[in-house]
Amino acid sequence: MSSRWRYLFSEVFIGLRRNLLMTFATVLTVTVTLTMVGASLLVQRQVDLAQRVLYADVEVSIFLTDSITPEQQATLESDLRAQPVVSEVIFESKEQAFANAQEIFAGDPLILEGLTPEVLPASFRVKLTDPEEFAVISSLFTGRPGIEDIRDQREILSDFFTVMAKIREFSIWIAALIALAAVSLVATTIRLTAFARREQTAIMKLVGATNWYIRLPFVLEGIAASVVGAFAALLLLAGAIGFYVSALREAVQFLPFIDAGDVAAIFPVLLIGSIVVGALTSIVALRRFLAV
Amino acid sequence: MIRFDHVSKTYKKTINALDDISVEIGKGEFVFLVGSSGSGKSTFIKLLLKDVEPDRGDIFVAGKRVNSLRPWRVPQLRRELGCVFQDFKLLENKTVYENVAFAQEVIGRPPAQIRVDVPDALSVVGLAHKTDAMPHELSGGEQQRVSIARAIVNRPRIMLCDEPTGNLDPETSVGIMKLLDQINRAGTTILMATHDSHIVDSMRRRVIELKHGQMVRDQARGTYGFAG
Repeated sequence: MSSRWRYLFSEVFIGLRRNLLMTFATVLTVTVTLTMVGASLLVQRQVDLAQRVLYADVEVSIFLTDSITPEQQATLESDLRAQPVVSEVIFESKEQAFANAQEIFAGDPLILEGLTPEVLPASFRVKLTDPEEFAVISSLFTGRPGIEDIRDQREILSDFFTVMAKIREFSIWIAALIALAAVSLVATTIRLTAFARREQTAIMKLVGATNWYIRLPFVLEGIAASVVGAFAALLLLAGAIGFYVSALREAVQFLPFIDAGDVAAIFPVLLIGSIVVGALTSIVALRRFLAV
Repeated sequence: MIRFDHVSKTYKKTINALDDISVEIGKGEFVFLVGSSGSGKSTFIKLLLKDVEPDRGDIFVAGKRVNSLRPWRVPQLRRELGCVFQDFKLLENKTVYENVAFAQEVIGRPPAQIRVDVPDALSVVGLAHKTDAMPHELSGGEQQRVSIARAIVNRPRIMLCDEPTGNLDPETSVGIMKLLDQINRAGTTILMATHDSHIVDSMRRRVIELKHGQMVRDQARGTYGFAG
């Protein structure tokens, strides 16, 4: 190893050791920040995953009036099949609806009591190539004779997704706040180190070391704190996923959940983002200190 | 090697640190810069290092116009200048050898060269036997020798000495001056700011005297006072 690099690494090590408590506080804040940022990224992935899987199953329900004639029903079905956005049309008769209801509410005899096939409407279950195309079907078929109501099943899910979006928004705000604390802590630590080493820096300037060379140990310190923080955050996030999501998966079976693979997928973003911010913070923190 | 061309510098618009100074110092010269505190000696040296900027005039060091030098060229300028100060400016947690090697490490000299140059510089200043000592184990004169070794290890063409004997007793000072004289005879241009009249009088070299920022004397083979 050339003397240049040996000098650099020993400086970084001394800098980190000189103020262990400060270094610990810095790494801890970086960890918390990255955990929060990571958590909001994971919530986003969870929302995307749930949306993808749940929307793949959602249908548009076209409920029919009891007075619909067989001809009207046949025309309606062939018109539906003719739409390019429609991928599948299934007819659900009153009896089938009754059978489904009995299955769904098997544990709830109170609801089933007095329920007969006559009470339930017949319907067409329409699957769309893209669930976002609901408006097309709705505008084409609303008001047609024999149609009671057209329902987008996504409405049922929309509350759920609203809650998820709010959680995510909140976690981003918290992450931004903690990031601010982390950046100022890193800057303070770097400035303290720079102050402790001011004699050395003065001599370096005097003998003609370049500003980049003087800056590098400090920047590497900032990066080291970022890298350690990022890996700690990785462990925390993976632990949280393992602990909470496996419990959730038991309790909420209709939803798909993210797993450790998603944590691995967001990790490069966290690591690189944290390194860039750490390095920039060090450079900015040293600007006045290094003025020629 | 050094040229000041109508250089003026004021601090905070009121204090006249240097007033219209024009002077030229040739290659291989040994020049004393004398004057009382506040006469502008330190500003003169800081201007050469581009530590401060002149308000007017041009400064040339080793062929470079210092005042128009881009910030990223400043390290190159400083590698041409070896500096020695009254307070030695040694790193207390490094040995004699490490202090001298530091000046080479931080400008990226290869280790093989460092292993040759550092012992060379230490033997020039007469400290070859103290390479592993810490600065606090050395006398003031020895510490100043270490700082001189650090200043010459990168073979600068010019040495700037700001009161190098200011903290030393007369006997030790004589030893330091002999060393500087020896370095000067080997071809290094030396500019030394000093208060020490005995040294100036005994060396009989060129003397530049500053008073309230103005150059009041430039005398070959001069003395500290006007008497000479």
